[in-house]
Amino acid sequence: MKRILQLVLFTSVALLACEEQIDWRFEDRIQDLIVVESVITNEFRPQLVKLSRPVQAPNEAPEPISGANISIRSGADNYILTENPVGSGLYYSDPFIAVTGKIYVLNISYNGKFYQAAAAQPPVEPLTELSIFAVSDSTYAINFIETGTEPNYVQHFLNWQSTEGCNPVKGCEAKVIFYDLKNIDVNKQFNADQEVVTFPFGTTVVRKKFSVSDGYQSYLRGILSETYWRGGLFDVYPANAITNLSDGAVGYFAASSVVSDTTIIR
Amino acid sequence: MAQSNILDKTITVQATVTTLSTVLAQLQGQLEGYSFSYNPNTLPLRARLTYNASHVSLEEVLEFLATNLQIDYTVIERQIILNIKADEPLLYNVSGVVVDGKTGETLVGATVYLEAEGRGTITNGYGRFNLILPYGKNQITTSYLGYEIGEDSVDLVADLTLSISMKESSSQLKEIVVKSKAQYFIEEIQTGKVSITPSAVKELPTAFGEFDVIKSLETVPGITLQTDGSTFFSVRGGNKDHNLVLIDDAPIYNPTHLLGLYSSIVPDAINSIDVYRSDFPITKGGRISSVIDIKTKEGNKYRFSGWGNIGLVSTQLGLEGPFKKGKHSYILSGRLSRIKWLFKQENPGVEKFQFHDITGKTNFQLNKNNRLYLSFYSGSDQFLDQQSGLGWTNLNGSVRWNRVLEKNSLLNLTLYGSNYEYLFHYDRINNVSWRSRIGEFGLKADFNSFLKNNQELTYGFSLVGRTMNPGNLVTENTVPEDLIVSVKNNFEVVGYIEHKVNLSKKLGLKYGLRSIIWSNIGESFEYAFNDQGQAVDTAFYQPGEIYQVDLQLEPRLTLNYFINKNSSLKGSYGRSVQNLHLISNTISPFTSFEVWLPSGPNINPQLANQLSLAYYYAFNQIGLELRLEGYYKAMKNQIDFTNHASTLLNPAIESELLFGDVKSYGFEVQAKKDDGRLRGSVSYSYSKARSQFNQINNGQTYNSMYDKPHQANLSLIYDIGERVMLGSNFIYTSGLPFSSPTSFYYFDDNEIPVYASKNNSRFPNYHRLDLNAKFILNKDLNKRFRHSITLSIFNLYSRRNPIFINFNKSVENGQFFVPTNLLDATRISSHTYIYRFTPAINYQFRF
Repeated sequence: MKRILQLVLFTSVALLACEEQIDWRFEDRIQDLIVVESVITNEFRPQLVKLSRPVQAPNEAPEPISGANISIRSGADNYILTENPVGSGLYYSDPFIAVTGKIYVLNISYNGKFYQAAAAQPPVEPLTELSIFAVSDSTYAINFIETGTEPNYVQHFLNWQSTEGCNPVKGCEAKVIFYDLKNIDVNKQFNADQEVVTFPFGTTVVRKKFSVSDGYQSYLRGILSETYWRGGLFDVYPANAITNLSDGAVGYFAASSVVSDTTIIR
Repeated sequence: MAQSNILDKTITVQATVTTLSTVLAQLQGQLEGYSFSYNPNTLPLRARLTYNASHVSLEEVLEFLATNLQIDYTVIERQIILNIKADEPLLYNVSGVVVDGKTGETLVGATVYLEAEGRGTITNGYGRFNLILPYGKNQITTSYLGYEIGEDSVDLVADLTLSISMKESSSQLKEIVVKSKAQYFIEEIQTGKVSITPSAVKELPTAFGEFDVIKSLETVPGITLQTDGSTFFSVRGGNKDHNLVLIDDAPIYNPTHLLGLYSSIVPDAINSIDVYRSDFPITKGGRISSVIDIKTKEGNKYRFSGWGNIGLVSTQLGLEGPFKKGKHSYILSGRLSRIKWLFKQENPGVEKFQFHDITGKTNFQLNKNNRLYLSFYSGSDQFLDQQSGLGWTNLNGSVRWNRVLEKNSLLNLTLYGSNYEYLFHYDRINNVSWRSRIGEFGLKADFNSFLKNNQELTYGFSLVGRTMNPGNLVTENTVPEDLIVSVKNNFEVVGYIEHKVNLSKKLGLKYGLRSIIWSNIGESFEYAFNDQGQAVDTAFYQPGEIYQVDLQLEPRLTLNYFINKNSSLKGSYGRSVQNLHLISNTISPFTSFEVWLPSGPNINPQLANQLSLAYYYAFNQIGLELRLEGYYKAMKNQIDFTNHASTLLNPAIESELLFGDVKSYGFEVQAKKDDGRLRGSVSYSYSKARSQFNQINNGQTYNSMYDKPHQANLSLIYDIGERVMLGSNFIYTSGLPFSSPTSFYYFDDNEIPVYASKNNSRFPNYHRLDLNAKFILNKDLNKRFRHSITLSIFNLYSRRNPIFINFNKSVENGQFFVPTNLLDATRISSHTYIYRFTPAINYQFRF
């Protein structure tokens, strides 16, 4: 939204402004920081917790953390997670469904330190019909539309490998997330130009819509301020996204309700 | 008659503005057998006095003379011997006004100096001055930048009121040594003050040739602009909201256009600009780092005249003239942007893309002792398309009444109003906007009394009421929207007094006190928060209900030690209080979405205690001023924000605030030469600002946002001939502190930065060189219509000074964007800068 105004304001500065790539020397990272990534859902499946180290510079592959003891407890239920495969930093539980109304507590013990986080799962509103628009005669893009009344986000997995429009050199898959946090933030309204992911006729689009709790919304708002919404005219002061993890760990432990659908663009 | 009884003799005196010699003759006629004896070379025989009395004793008359003319008397045999009191010279009050002889415009900051006595003063904000001078002949020297030095000989036999007319200098080519000006700043009991003349602002090279008062402040040591394209400035490590900008005593909250690329204060309508970095005037307060006191022109009292400016960005036009020649005048100036067409080409959806400002003033000289001024300022920016838009408006006005109460007392009564409104048209189709506003009304009475022995007493009071809307949604529905964020109202009663006295010929003292009774008034909601910052309760206050009262004191003390005519040592201490707080968690250099909140139950007033030490030296022979100043400023209750604080439409916005301390310290050196063919300044300042907040960086101190340790400036203006002027300006500052990531992690394939600590890094150092050349197009410089062209180059060597540094973008075919395909995102580090080599042309005329 507000594309024209954004364009005008950017143009007014862009008349003068220029952007260019720079070499930036990052300060040394904190060595013992751990990253936790986990969103348990109402899908019956092994729930996943990822543990890794932060990377020193952009685009580097994270180093997984092995050997942690992880469990997720909810009332009398206690789910033990095991690393699979060993050395991957991916810890799976036996299959279970996270349900609305319960509180899930994540416990991680690693290297003599103990980390904890709690999450509750709000219900999710249904997906609305996928909306696309034509970018050219042969390519399309998703028209992201805010829906419902509650904060949510929708993952879009796009695959056009089996179409004529697939160019293996450029890649024929995409993952695009549309965040709809129901917030009014200046940096969101006036964010930087974003990549428009295009795909050809015949693309398969798998959508998963996630519900978002208040705490998760606050975290997502933080990471969006550092990613999608950064680079505009009115950026907020850089800062770490507020996590629900204890003892200095970064990342987030969330519980979400999920609905999904699959569409083939025809 | 016995000798002892002669003093009891009954006599009559009739003297109305009569010389002492005449009065003595009257007395002599009534004193048979007695005579006056005195030295006619020392006794003030020409001094005038008024004294009418019948059947009073001679002693009573002589006591009158003793008190009013400093004459001692003794009776020896049949002689009444009169002597001037050796330790108490006869002094008179010389007051008046200094004006431009051509236009009648009062000259603010003109030096009125007594060369022989080595004393002087400068004209105040209304062009008025007051001097206490000895009986007899005095040579008064008057100087003002760009004007010929005036010499007036006065024979003081009574208090005197002067109107001094100055003649504009036809050329800067002659080297003029302004001894008196240089000497006055030596003896002034003041630290941290810099006066900038509007003409000096116009001589500096600027971006796109737009003359800019606020941006010219970067040539003042201790003042740094945030980045290119910004009108946010920091004074001695203070925050951007610590600066009080006044236009004719009315505050202006956002003096910018086009997001801050240009300031809205144009020099052509300005009479004077006084910048106080410490030792603020006792009559002004409310901010803790600086006062920028701008006085607009009064208008030409003798003839209709005008001026104009045509630049790449805007057009300006000003008109002025007399209502009644020599007495009443007006001035009206306006500026209108001319950039919409440029954007309309690319974006047909643009409806409005413009800014304007209008400044006006009328001046009525009611009689010799009374003047009335009406002034207003309006500035507005509008950027609208069919769906959304931004806009802000500044409106302020004042009515001022200057009255000379007695020959040595002045009253300045000001009634002012100010309104700043910001609108974010969120959804124009449904008429939904976010609107914040701050409105203010004030009544202010300042009294100045000039006492004997060069003492000056300044006192007065002000009453200020404000209403502040920290931002709410508004629609055009007939049913008003419920407020999400409570409106806040407050009322201030301020009283102040200051006494300036020369304790000896060497030592001057100024001390004073401002007291503020601050009150918060309903109708308003206030939240109560627990230790974790969570709202646990709300309180509603009825309209008009006073729910918090706070007494705040601001003591001030300044000393000046006059070493000799060339040098002095100065020191000052000042405590200042700030009750209005800008709530803005952005690193953007551009002005937008400002929310102002007052002190109240959840926000303590910001406090600053500043110590300043200075050494000033005047190189009189070359008219060069050298100023060295050191300072230490401790600021309490400073505001920072929780991570990614939500400041829009947050009813419990105070929960997003963090409070801590900032300490700044440093020193400034500046050598300045205002007159002559080659003029300019060179300066360097070292300035540190360190913050300490319990919730940030584990409570460790860290560099404040405006910590820029090194700042250097070289500004030079050179007149090649009568019609050609060259100017240059070089700026260097340390880079702006900012938080740089120390690592990154992935969440749902998003790459997210990790910050180990706040402000752990800096932008690259800032520097640039600007040049300009002004060509007067008239061959005959005496023509009424004068016009000129200024060619300027901003950032001559194309230094890329960043305004943003980002780590979240990708680049393809030269286009930078935020990648959204999380399976195939390669991110780079990038920076954005505004100005490269930026040439401009500007045409000016005046008639």
